[in-house]
Amino acid sequence: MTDNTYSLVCGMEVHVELKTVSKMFCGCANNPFHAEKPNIHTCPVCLGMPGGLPVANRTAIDWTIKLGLALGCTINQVSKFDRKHYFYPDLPKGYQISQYDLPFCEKGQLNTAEGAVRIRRIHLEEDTGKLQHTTLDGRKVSLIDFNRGGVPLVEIVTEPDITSPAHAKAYAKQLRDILRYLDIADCDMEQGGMRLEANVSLRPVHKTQLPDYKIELKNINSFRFLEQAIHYEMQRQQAALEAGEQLHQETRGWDSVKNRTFAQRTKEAAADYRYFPDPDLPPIELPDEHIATIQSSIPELPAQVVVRWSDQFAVDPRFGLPLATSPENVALFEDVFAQLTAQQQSPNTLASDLHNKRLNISANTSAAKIVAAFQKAHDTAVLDSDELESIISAVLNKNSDAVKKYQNGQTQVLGFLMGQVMKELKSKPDAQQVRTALGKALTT
Amino acid sequence: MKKLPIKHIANLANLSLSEKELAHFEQQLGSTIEYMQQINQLDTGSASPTARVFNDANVLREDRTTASLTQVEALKNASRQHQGYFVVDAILDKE
Amino acid sequence: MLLNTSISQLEQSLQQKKISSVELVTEALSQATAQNKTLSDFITLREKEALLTQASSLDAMKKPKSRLHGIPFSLKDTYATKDVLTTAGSNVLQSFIPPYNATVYQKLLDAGAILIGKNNQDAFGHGSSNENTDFSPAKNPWNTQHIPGGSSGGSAISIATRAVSFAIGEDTGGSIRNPASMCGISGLKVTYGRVSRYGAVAYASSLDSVGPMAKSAEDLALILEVIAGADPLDATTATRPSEPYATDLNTDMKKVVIGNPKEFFAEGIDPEVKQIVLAAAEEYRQAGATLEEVSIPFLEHSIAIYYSLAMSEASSNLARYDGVRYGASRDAFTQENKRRIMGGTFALSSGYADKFYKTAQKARTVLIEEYAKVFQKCDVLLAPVTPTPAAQLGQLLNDPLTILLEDLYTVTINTVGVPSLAIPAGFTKNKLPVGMQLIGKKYAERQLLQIGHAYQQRTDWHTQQPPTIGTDNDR
Repeated sequence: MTDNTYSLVCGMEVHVELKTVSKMFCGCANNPFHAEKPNIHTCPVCLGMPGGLPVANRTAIDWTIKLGLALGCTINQVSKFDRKHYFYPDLPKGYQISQYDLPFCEKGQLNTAEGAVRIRRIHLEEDTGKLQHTTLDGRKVSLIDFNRGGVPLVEIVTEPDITSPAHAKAYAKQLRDILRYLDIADCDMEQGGMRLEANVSLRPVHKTQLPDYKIELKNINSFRFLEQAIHYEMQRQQAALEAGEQLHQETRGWDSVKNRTFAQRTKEAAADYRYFPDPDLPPIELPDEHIATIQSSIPELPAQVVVRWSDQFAVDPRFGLPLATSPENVALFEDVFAQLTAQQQSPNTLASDLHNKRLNISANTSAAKIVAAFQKAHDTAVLDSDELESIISAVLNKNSDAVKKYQNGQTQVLGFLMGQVMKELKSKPDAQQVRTALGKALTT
Repeated sequence: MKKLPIKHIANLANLSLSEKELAHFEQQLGSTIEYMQQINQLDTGSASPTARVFNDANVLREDRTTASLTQVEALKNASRQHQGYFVVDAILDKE
Repeated sequence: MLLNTSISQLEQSLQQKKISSVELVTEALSQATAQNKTLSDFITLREKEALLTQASSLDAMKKPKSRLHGIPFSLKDTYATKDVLTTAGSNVLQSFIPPYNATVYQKLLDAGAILIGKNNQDAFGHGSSNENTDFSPAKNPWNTQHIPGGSSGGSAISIATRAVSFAIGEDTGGSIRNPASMCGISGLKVTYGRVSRYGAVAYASSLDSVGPMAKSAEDLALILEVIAGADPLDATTATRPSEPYATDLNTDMKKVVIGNPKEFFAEGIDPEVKQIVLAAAEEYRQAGATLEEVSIPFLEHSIAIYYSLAMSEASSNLARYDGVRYGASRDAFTQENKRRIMGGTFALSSGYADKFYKTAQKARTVLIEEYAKVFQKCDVLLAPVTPTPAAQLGQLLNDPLTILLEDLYTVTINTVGVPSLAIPAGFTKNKLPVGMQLIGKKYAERQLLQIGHAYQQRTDWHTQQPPTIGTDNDR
């Protein structure tokens, strides 16, 4: 924002496909992105054929609760599925099975480096089929593939707590990291496995009342675009408000070529979803014991891991966080850190090296290999200081001209002398150690 | 009661009705709804709503795949299909 | 006529090789074909060739698959049958060939029963006269100037005329009991959750129930044994297993308390119907039962409660018919379908849902409580099925409110979810059948069948046959 007259009011709605084996309400394979052909993972239930009945996937429900618990949500002890009605060719039954007033999870929070974001609710629903627009025999048509129809989809809705485009990006990214860490979703943004929506409006800084309009930014398929789109919207809306324009509820998309948002035509002129409890699906009761069981299955989360690593191994959380991408990686680096600590070496140096790309490790490697690579890169322990001193004195004798220049104040020759010393050393030395020793030799 | 928003209802119900049909339904629906309104005079006290008469909870399925239809079976009743896809006219905005 | 005998007699004759399934199927198809021109009870009849092949392979088996082995039956056209046309009586589905079977059909197939054809019905179950079909309106076999009742009208006709041994109907607000009563046969609306709804074209999902129709309570018991039970494809089926309903149908009527709910005999009931049902109550009293007058005060509001729910759910269930994946476009719905879709859409719409759908749900709770209270005093309720005998053709069309009021005595049973057995109780002076219903507690099917059987042991209404219709030309 160029000045401080307006501040951002922004909440997000994120849809994520869960990676269960089967679909949400039928036994068809949940494999929409790698299906060989269209409409091969379908049945009377997910095609909405007459008499098809839904039966809910237990794992999808447990995973939704797992996500809710990981985000500090309250879990509703009694929950249910509702029918949400609207007509669209990708929605086979004319209604989507979703959750209306009793979502599985409510009232959580996600803390990001840019600030906290409160979670309003997390509910579970079924995905729609996929439309593809084309022309057939001169007619504009849509082709429909229902391989995706009925795939379990969680929707995570936040409060309007997001204060900047960077905040939105941090929230979305961290949410993806948690979903992957819990191993419940692939979050493939490109394919639509994770879909971002931001509700953006502005309010005068001195007012606390929420604005009377809301621009929904939809169909954003990368974190960068999310940030750009919100930024663009803020400027657009501010210009409009300053020009005395009245802004209205609207859905806009992001044009990543022209770098601007654009108004989208929406499917429901006047949405009236006519929600009611789905009579085909009995309610879900979640006793404390069940919630406790799910809670106990949640691994230590990255945010907690980095705090512990900081205490235990003095690893800077900034360097620790990118390493805590999965419980497997946490265990791996935990092992690495322990080995380094035992050998009086610094886990933080390793984490920092990885963070700054000074050290690269391959996937599926072992703790021993990482330790070896790190030690090879540094190799400081094996450098004998007597040996170093004798090499330095030999180099200085050989290059008396350079030594003179140095002593006359031309300190730039230090680099040349460093290079000469390094050349003589067999193992890869710690440059800092060499530089210190060399400086000492030159000044005495 | 207010005049029935008959066009809006038809639109929500995805029914394309002629002016004649709209008028016909407005009259018939009007009398039916008038009759239905008696439930608003009932004393239901503190009764909580019953959406279902089946009292079990947590009737769920395990996350396992079962046989799907073949592509041919899935599409065989479709009015239009193209290379394994269902086909509809491109969606135009209503109203 | 072989199909005039009970299922257990047929079973015995088949086992003793006195008759064959081929003979049964031949007779069934011949009768069905002959009468269908006049009565229009079938939308689809299966090919003779295929039927005979199926029957002879069943005849060749050493061990029967079940007690229904080799017995011909029909299905209301609301049940999905793989590779066999399934229309639900509607032009919307006039060419729909399902690639799957309804669970109830699969169970009967596995039991060795033979499907003769698919019965006519009001389109999507919307109606109680079988006139709201997109095929020829079905006619009452006792008097073809009259309706057979509905919506499972075709199934009731096929049984009354002995074209099949039994049928599977579907009852959302009386659709099994109403035509059973009007055609003089027996029909059972089961407890919600007793029989799987998978593959049954949905009308109103919280009210729909799948049940048997046959000549007697004894036959119904045999069929229910086969079709009842949990189904992994229907999350609203009870986990309790099917019971041996047909084993020991005898009961001591002296231990039975029968409630007469006074509101079911109040103003609006046809005097002949009232007299017939009260006579049946007297029959039970003579058999040793105790009669008790009880009250369901909310009955008078039951139509408004029921239709608020049924139309709401119907508008939702019929939303899937968009002509894209199967079927014709939404223009193909009947006027009655459209009326119910519009009514339900309205009852669920923003600003009205609280007044209609939500209020009806609360009233539903009150009805459930009223029934629970009554069942503390008695074992079953005895009531008429419809206020009047079968109306003349055309009489009920074009007056939506009168059509709805025809369902006054049947709809509360679905709203509450309890079982109800409809059995023949007599005839009007004009020789039209009149039935009665025995209403029980949840999962009391066995008790209902026993009490119904006791009546059928003492009376012969259920053995009466309509005058012969059709000719033997096709044989």
